[in-house]
Amino acid sequence: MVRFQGGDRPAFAQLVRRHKAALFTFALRHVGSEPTAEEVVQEAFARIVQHAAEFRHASRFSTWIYRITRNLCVDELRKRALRRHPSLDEPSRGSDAEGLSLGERTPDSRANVERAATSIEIRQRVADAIAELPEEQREVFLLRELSNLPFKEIAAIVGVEENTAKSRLRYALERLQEALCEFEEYARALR
Amino acid sequence: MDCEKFDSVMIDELYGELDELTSAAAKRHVAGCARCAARLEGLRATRRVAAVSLASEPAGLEERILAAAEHILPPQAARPRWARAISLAGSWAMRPQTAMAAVFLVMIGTSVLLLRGKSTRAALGDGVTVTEQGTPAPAAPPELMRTPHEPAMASAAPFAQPPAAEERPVAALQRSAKGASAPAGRGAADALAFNQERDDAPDERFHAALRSYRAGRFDDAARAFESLPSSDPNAPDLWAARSVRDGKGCRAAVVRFDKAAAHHRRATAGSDALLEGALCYRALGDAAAARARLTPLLDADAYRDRARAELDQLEELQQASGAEGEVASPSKAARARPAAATAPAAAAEATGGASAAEPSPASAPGAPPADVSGSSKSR
Repeated sequence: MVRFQGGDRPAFAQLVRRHKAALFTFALRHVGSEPTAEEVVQEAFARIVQHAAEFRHASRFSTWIYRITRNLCVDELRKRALRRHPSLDEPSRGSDAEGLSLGERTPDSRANVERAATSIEIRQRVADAIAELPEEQREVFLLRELSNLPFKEIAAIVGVEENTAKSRLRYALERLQEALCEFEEYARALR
Repeated sequence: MDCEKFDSVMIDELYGELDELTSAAAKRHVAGCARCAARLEGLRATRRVAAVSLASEPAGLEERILAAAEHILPPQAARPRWARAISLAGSWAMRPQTAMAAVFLVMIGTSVLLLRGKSTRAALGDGVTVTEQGTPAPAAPPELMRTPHEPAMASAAPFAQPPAAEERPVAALQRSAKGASAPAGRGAADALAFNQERDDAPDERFHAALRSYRAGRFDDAARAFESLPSSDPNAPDLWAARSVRDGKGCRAAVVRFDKAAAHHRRATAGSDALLEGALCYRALGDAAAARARLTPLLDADAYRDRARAELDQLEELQQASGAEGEVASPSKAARARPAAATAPAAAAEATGGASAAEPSPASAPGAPPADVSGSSKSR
């Protein structure tokens, strides 16, 4: 980031390559829609470019860009809540939707075949369980499990105390444990 | 650690953010508490099941991000080459290693300048130094301190100070023997070593000149003797006069004998110069001048007999010619020359007996240099 601030444009490409995958996954898990997640990530990097001169390195670059992405995701969810009808790209939430988008579910019956496999079933159930988490718990869980950020940095991104971030993560884990209890033996076998 | 305390740190333990001490305490508690162990293990199993993997990103995501950034960024003006060079040099100069190296070089340079300035002041300063005996003396010129063997040492005499009354006898003896003094500011022991070291070279040069003289290269010998310092105890000026006499004749040599006699007045070398000068004057036919130089020798025990014999011979020659004080004709001088050429040998033979009481190496052309250097009592 220091090099990019000094006018080194190739350094920005390095930043993109380093963070794009984790940011996209975080946004995707957050907003549940791939096109929306891509828009969010593009917008996040655009804001990095626009405000690069204002970054004073008081915090880590990852904290800064995750905070931008998280805020964009929150804004997107708020906008979506205001819309009365679901988008065709939006995945449905809940056990009946099973994490698939409306467009995916409607025309194609092959998804039912794939869901027969156990691993796929577990993956879907996990995705559903994460999607069912309250937003404030889900974002902390994703930041910790997906990006492996320390609690101090997560607290800075979310804008809460560190202990609050830890409590939210604990609640998230307990909810997931409850939702996935039937796979607990499977999980122990993964050790 | 109890269950309540473990509960407060369970998340940190689960994600490995506890310090070693607290983590060890938590592990000890878990080992002894089945309930807490089950809770921790349950959360670990959940983490394993709910592990979130990276989603496959849409194709071309990176290119689209970069393209969007390019629209935002201002067009990049091609920077001049010199601006890039300055930028590179600036970034290099701002490296901490460069700064440390610069500081180190400044320290070294400053130290060298300070040390050089100090040594230069010490060398050129005309401050008073104190000898071992406490006698104040001006410091010797730096060239004397640096090159004690150079001919410039001949001019060191004016800097010499007479030995202090309380100076060590050995140092005083060495000073008088060598005819030179050590640079001021040195102790007596240092002066002794200094004189020995400094006189080695003139002795060697005197021996070389003496070898030229014995080989019959009188012109070379004369130049070599004249290049030696006049303070040399081997009386090189007397030997230079002998070389000129044997090479060019008495007419050219008499003035040098007179100078040597004046320089070594009341010394054996001075008496030799008087005697040999008198013989030269006699050979040139100047009986009055010869008599004037032989007469003072009548007061010297070692030279009295020889001087009387020469005066008698001079008287006989004058009576034979019938005219006292008459200047000899050139043909007579030419006839007398072979006798003058043998004068040194005769003088040596004449003073040889005297040297038993008072060694006179300067008067003995064939005397070994070792004996010459032993003429410490000649002055």
